[in-house]
Amino acid sequence: MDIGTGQEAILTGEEIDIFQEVMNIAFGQASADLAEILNAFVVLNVPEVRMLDESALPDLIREDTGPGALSIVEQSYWGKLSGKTVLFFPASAREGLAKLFGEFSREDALSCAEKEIFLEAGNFIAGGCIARLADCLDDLITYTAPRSAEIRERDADKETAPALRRIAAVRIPFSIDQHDVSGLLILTASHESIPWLKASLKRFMEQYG
Amino acid sequence: MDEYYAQIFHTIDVGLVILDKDIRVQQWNRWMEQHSSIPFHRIIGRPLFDFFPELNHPRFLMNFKMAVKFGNSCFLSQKLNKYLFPFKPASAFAGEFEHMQQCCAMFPLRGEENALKYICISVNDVTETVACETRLVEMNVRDGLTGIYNRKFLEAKLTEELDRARRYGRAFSVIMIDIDHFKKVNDSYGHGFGDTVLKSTASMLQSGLRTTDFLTRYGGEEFCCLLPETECSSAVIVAERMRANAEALALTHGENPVNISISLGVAGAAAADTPSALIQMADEALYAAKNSGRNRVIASRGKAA
Repeated sequence: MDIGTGQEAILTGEEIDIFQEVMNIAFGQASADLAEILNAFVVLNVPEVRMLDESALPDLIREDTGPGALSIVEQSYWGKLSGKTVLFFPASAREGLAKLFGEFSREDALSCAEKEIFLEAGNFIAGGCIARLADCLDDLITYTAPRSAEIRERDADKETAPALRRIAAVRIPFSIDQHDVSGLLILTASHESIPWLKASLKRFMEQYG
Repeated sequence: MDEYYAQIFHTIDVGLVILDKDIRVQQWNRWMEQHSSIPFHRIIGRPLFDFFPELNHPRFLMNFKMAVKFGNSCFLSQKLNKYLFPFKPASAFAGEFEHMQQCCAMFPLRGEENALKYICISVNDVTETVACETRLVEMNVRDGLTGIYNRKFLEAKLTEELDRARRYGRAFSVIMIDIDHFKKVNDSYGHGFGDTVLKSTASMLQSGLRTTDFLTRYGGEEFCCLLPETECSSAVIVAERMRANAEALALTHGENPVNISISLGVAGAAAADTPSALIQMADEALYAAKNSGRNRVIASRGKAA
């Protein structure tokens, strides 16, 4: 769908504030529900929303990826709201996650299975956030399986992404209490879904008069 | 379309199970019947755990709750879970696997007004793929002659273990091992017997190690052993036991007994900044052992020269 590049594809300052408020509610609920399932508290920090061009996403990701090995888990989601989640874990998170996600042996945590530990953990955290966000916005979401990605793939995105496709990118630093795990979730709302998001945020505000 | 979906459901080469929120079986396709030997009519309406009590496990329940509570799909990888349903392998190329290796997913099925009604589990048999992958990985990290890990594996594992020891402030030690006068063995008895000595030494060294230790062939007649969670003083005890076992190896060439000995250098990670510095420290200790008469263990005294 070609929706052009005008105001209909950009969240205004007020809409960004509402979106942030919706996410605060959604992620608070996601955090409580994840705590019940994981028996651990996932602390989702205040989300920061930016409107940017799709081709600038690699630079945003690079801002958040300092030195040191990182595992990156990427998933696409589809509903009326659609986009991607990109989750970053430092290598140091693997043992905490291995314990949290199921009593794996130290050998499993350190062997090639470590990629799968990050994938499963990423699916839970990103999936939980998106599911509750979709609830708040009265949407229904389906997901692709999580896949591990590499920073350099983002450069390929940069080269192929058409110019002037505005997306909403949300940075959500998170940590898991008592498991020595911290990371960053970047959630994007695609260019195509921005008009629906704007309408949905308006509906959300109307509920509160 | 329903009749077509039913045909697909039963014909597809994937196990499909539909559960209600109380984990009772609502649908069970032919693939599941075939591999479980549990017919549809016996399991329908019954709790899944009556037939598979091993699934009543925190990991299964965590994923099931995730699917029910969030309406999310969950992916249960073979690498972490090996399998969900304990079926016998169906493939002739199943390798050493006792159970069919499975890649599974759990996802919600919604009814009217998008209300979550059921959870579907899909089961893919990936046994053949995993068997091939296991063989390929082994070929890539094992030394062809001795069967122990190769130098490539050592370099990756050493960096990983040193990083971890430093991050968590844990002990980590390395032993470098060299067969004394190996060239003389080759020259006297031939390279075929030299290979036998290498294989017997590797096997002897491996037999005294924990499953968390890594024995690698460093090159030629030199071996390197990584001992995570081990202080240098404890590694010296391990090294001394290796030395004594080498001396006691009962090798024969034809009718003739052949005695061998090994020299060993030990270094602890506390004094090493980098993987190469740690290897260098162990190597210097090994050469000190060689230079002071062989058949002995020497521990590094600190920083690499």
